[in-house]
Amino acid sequence: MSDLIVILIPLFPLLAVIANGLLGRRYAHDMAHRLAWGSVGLSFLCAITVFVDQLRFGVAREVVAYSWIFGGDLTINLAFLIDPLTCIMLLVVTGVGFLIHVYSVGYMHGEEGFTRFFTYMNLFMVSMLLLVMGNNYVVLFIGWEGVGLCSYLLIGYYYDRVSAAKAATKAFVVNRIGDAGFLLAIFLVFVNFRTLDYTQLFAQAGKLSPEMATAIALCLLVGAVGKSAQIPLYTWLPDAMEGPTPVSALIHAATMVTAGVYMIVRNHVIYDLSPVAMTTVAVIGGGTALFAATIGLVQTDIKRVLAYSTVSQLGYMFLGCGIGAYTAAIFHLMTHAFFKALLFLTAGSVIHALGGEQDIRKMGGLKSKIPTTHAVFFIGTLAIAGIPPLAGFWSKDEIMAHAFVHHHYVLYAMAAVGAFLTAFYMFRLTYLTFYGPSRVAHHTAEHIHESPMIMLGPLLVLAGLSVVGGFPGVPPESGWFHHFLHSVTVGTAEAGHATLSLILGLMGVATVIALSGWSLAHYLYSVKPGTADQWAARAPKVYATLLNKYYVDEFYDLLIVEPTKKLGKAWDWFDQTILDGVVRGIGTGTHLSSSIVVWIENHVIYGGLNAVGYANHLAARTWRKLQSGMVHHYAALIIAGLFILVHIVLLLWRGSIGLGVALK
Amino acid sequence: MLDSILLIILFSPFLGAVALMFVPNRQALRVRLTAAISAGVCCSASWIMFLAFDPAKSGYQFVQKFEWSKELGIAFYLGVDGIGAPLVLASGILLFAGIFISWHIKDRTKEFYIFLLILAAATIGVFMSLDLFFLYFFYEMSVIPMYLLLGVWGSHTKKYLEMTDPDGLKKRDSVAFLFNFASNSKEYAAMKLTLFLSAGAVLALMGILLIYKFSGLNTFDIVALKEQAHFGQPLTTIIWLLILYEIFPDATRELMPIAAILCIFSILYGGLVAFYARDTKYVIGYSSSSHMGYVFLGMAALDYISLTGAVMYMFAHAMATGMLFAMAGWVYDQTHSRDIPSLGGLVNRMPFVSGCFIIACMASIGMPGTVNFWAEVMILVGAWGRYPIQVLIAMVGIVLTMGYLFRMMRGLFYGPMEEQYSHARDAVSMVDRFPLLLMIACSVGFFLFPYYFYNVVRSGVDPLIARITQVVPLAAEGREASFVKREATSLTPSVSGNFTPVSRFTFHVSREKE
Repeated sequence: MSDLIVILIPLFPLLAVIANGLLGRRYAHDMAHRLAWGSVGLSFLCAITVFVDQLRFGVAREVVAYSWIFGGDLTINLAFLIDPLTCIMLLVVTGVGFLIHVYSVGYMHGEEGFTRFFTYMNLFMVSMLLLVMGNNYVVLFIGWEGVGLCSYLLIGYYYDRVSAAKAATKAFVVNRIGDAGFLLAIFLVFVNFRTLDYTQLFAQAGKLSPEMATAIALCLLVGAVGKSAQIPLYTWLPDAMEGPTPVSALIHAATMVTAGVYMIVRNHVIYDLSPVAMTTVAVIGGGTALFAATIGLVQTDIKRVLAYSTVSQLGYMFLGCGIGAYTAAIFHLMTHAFFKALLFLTAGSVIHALGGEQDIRKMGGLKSKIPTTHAVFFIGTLAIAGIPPLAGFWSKDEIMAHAFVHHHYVLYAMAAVGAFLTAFYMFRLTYLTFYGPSRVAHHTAEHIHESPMIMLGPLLVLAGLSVVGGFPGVPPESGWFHHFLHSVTVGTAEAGHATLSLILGLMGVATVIALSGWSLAHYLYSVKPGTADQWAARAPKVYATLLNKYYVDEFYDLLIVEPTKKLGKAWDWFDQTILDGVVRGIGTGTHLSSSIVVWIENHVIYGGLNAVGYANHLAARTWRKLQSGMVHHYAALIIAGLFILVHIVLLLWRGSIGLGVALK
Repeated sequence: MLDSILLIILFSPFLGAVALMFVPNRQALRVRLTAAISAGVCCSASWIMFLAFDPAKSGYQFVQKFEWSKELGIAFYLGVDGIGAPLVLASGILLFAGIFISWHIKDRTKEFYIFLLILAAATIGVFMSLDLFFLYFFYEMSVIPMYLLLGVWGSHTKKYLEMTDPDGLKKRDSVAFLFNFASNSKEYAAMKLTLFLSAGAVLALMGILLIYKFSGLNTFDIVALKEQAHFGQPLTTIIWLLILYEIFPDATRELMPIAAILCIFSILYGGLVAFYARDTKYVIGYSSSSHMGYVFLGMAALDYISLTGAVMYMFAHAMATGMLFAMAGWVYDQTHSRDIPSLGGLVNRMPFVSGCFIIACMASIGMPGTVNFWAEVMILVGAWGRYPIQVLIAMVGIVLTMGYLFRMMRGLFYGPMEEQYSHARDAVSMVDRFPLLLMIACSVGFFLFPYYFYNVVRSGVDPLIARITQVVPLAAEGREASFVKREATSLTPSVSGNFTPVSRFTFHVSREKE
């Protein structure tokens, strides 16, 4: 029975995909969206059941749905692993997914391709669930590719926009680079263990040599970096904001982009064997957290600011993984899912209210016009900025404290500066959007309206979660959350040696950092608006560099895309000129040699024949005069002939004497 | 009935072609229906054959043998093993789909279908012939209708002819060469034995032929595929290679490293040119040659899993590329353009075709959800042990494949639409949709249930690799173990030491005398 429930979790959305995909055009929109969110809701209920089971029995178990390939040396099952980590991911994915589905009903109302949207969203849910539930790398990879595909389809949802199509292609190609690394890791695992099942693999992971562990961990990291938009493969995520806002919330904030973090935590047994890989993860994470935050400072598109903030927050999770704070990373993953989904959906609500406007320079003063949206957005901002006691504070502080306690001071400093910047740009966003004078275009301003209840409902639930979502992890390092996940992340350097005073001190510092970021934003955008522009004018190059995202896209274009095109062009030239040239050369050679033969035939063979013929002709022309047809000519010839004959006879007669003598 | 299933598969298109000769060209619908019925019989019979295939047995099944000329030792000898069965199935499916894809051909419909059916039958004949004479016969037979199909209904005819002719010529030579070895009997099994005994002596010559085959695929067959939408010519070439596997295990083992290098060339070369190409069919054609590189990689690694993957890849590739060509053809029919930059925004006009196109692209890059995924993963996993560098490069190739296929998809279907294409139609009627749905169903179906497919292929691959590498697979335990082991052990003394080819040859001869 409980096995069946596990299998039902991905099955419900799958059935909805099939129904909507095949029959979606036949029935009304209402039916399509009911199927979509209903199926995800049912999955959520099943996930709760599984979670409760897990709480009660606390044993990790494997559920085999069916045997995919079975042939002696190769066995691949469609198998699910149910353990505390999976349970947390299941609750986050189905829970947040359900809320976003409900929200989408309101947001996508009246859009073209309504059914298509929900089909893709459900397909995404199926893939994401396979990703977090799979008990072997193949199922993980199938989910991994599936979410990438759905991301592609949904970014390119507005297919008539060239920018959307380009962003979708970019996202998919960049992800695929990461996937190649992931695939390589799978090969390495298979070659070393001859199995791809987690349970069997982790049991015998100890026999790996450190070099091989490093190789596998780094290859996995390439995949994680691509999917979770870390340096150097982060460029696709901001562009991915071309998709509808619920997509950004679900895929590019709450669930899919955290898959890399999930994968690293899932494979932490391998990472623990390799200090090199761990350091790499930590450095990439810390670097991304800081780097993306600086770009976020100056962006003017509301969704792009949030996108860079997502990249930055994912950096914190990677940082957590890299310093061995796996539980904290998953904790931050969960709270981030709450508040970032909230922020994106609220941004969607703002965009909805303004009729599609996304530029924060054309917003302002919206607080009074859309008060509920403002309130939940403010909660989200407080949560992400790390103001206690909201969700983001606990999880982010835990990662930072872990870095400090374990003497990673450089990483701690990076994270701290990143936290300051985060608080600053999030409050900047809030001030520019909701406070100050209205800069909204006149015709838009008349139509500003609060979103319908179907959109506000999920927002309120997410706001509530953003407020209380951190409490399962309180007190730090020994909260309920940590005990629950203990069996998965066991064996890691989890227990802090920190004293209570140090922890409280670090909390204080984190709070001060967040508040100072807020104050700066308050000063620049509320107290003395215009100061920010002055600062930007004073350092135009820095501002331009940040605004242009450090020119990384241009750099990649120059370094990779253009050379590939040129190489393709060169090969094409090679194909057209050399290879075809060989064929043409053979043809030309044949033609040439045949023309020589023809010349020989014309001039030597026919020439010889003609010469003979012409000689004949010449002779005939001379000799034909003999046969003139005149009697006296003939008579003269006869006489001449007789004359000659007689001469010959005489000659012979004389000569015949000698002959006669001889005969005698 | 089941015993003669191969005859049904082979002769139903032939009979259809004969029947078509008696149908007047004016009755276009009757012409098409006749073709469809005969192709339908062929397709369903190949399905029956595939499902009735017993993966627990190794060796050839559904064997049919008719003496043709005892003096010359030629027999009409048909049979399929685990490698031939999926290829026959792929041909059957593609024939049936191809009939519907070319449903709207108005120019000399009757003749077109006659040639198409003959081509299909000849291709199927190649896959199931066990006699080298008939193998060659069918192979040559497929060239004639292809020649006519391209010449009359194709485009860019001249270039193709330029390239096919030397190709055909060389192949003729190679077969003549093989024939001379078996002058006492051309019956396949006997020939296999004779050739195997002589293998050492002809190693060098075979090497030249093998290299020719590989480079030949790179240069010549690209165009064949590029021009011919319905049947993948490379598939036919690969069957030749498989036969070489059968005949020359020693040569195969020693020459495969060269193949492994050449296949990388094929992957990157096809991929890069496709990246640059602007013509839809060129992109697909070059991508196909790039994909054949993966098949060769799978074959070159001489690994159970990778060779199984290679055979599955051939099937998967046939489905995916068949779809791509069909849809490029549909777009061309509707817009009269194959130039990617000038197209765009067609998703508005043809949602169904663009949806299928996405699926075909996904299949082509080996996304999970299509059988290509299993095939690709198996090739790479299997080849990793022997050729890690090639696998790494092949993975770069995957990214490249994605790049150009998605660029093409974006160019055709996304973005703003040109006014001039506003009349373009989607595939609406069931006749137009059926072939695409059929191929998608096969691709997705075998992804969900690869189990049977895998075992069928394994039954053909296991004895082959066991003979070449003398390593008995784990999978063979309990199934046909005795056969494989017997064969493997009997060969061990001949190759375990560092014999020169000559000494190996003499060894066999001396044993023969005993």
